[in-house]
Amino acid sequence: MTDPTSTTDEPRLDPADPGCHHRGGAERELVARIQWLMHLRWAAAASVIVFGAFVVHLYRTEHKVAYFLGILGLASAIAAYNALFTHYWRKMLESGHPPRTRAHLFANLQIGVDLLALTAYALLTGGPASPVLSHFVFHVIFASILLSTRAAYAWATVATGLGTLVIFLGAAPGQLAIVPEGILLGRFPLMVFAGFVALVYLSAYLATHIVQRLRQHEAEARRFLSQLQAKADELSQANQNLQSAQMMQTAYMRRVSHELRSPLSAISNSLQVVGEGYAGDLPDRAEQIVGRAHGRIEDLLRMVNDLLALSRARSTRPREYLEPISLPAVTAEVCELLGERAELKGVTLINEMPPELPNVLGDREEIVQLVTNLTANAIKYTEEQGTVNIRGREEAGQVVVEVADTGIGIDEDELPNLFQEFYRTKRGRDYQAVGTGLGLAITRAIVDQHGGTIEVASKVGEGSTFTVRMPQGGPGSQPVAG
Amino acid sequence: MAERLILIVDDDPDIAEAMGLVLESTGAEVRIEEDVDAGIAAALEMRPDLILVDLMLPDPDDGYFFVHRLRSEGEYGARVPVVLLSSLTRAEMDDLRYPEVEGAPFEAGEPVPISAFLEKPTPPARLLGAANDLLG
Repeated sequence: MTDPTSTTDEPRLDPADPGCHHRGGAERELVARIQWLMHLRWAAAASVIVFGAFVVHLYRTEHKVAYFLGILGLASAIAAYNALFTHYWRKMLESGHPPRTRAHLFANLQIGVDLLALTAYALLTGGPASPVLSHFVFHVIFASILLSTRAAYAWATVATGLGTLVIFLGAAPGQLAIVPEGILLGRFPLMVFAGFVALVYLSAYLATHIVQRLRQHEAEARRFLSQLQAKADELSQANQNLQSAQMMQTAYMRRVSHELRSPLSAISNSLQVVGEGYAGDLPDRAEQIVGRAHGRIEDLLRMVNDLLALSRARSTRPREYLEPISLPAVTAEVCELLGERAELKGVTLINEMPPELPNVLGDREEIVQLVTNLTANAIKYTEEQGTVNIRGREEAGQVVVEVADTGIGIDEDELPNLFQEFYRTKRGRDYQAVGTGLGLAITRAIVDQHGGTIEVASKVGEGSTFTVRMPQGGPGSQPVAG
Repeated sequence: MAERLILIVDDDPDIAEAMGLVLESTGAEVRIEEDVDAGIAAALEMRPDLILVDLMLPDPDDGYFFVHRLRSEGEYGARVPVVLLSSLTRAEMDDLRYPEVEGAPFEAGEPVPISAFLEKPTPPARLLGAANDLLG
């Protein structure tokens, strides 16, 4: 053994260190089994006393006390060297984790000392007739599991040598044999020897073969795990890139949105301020022209807003950007926002969304826009004293929202074109000149992006009902965002 | 609003002038600044009754920096009503929470401590309504 405080570049062993996964299961197994062997040895020392005393009592007719003392001495020796091993191992672990070669040396040392103790034990309990003769096999199996195949066969050879010693020394008349000499004469020791050698080498062969197969499988599993880890790293990197691209896209869209709207806002504001006389009185004709110019700029602003919204709604977003959203809360917010508009028009806006509906997983900004578009449309195409009713329900794992109005309705032959960009129904254009024809295209894009469906039922002169179905999502059904 | 002092911090002189005309029609005195530093200096020097600040001055998050700096300027800075203006829509404003900006002194996700948000273009009636609400 070398100085435990010496430094080395060798891989160190730590059963609690996840890094051990990369160094291999064999090393982790070695550390765990060394400890297990030491724990087992305390039980072995105790069993040597109990079982040894029993065998001596059964076989011996004379010198019983001497043999008992021998057994006791052996058990004490086992306990003593186990205490030394335990102390040394603990020190090694405390001074940092033992390098691999030192752990192997330590395992070899323990197996060697154990085999010597087992030799003494077998001699004391009957030599070739000892019930513990076969226990040599255990250490061959330990060596097969913990060490290399070569080491396992080396220890099988050592065990065979020591076993042979036990068989023939224990069989010598008048020596250590404790069973009647007649049994030990003749071919008996040779038969035991042959059986013993076969047992030890067969055990070494079977154990090393199985362990080799297991180690191969473990190596394959590790290779697979490492490939899997590499793939996971690639995926994680791709995800990061996607998120970073998404953030850049969002920042870019905000910038574009700002750059397009800023000059239009300035023109709109200036025209409205001038038109309303804040910069001084205007002749009537000039006021009319400025008013119309302001109206055109407002149309353009609406178009820009809708085109930006459509572009945003059609861009795919990673699921990390989605959040659990309570549609009843969104509906309440939209009704508050549009309540004044409905009131000014003399339309009754009724929110009948049940508050306990499950959440949907979505982009909050877009879900708000979806409900706003449908509700604003319903108000826009409903005449005075009409009603807009927002209802909701849960149906087959989906959250269903219905926006029903008592408005002008849509001709049946126009229904298939309703969600196309820039499409406006004839009846709609006649009723309300202002409109980009993008609102329902945006709504459809948002629903599609969220894995939902939208359909419309309408009767001219009676009204329309838009039905949106969105898959449930997010934790629980408690309103989270509103 | 007579004798009230209102500060507009906006790098778009056309919008600032148009808003100034509307607010001056109520008898208020209006001062216009174009960037964060000048805006903060004017706010601390003149202690206006109301501050309107644009979000992009011209950098995308300048308005947030302005609000954060102002709110840490003593008792006056903490209490003066501030209206945030932007050409971005309310929906694009992330719930009026501070965004994630590298090296920013504010905490991303925290609510921006403003009194109101107005989308541009702001019709005179809406601007006057907000100013009236905040000035009493």
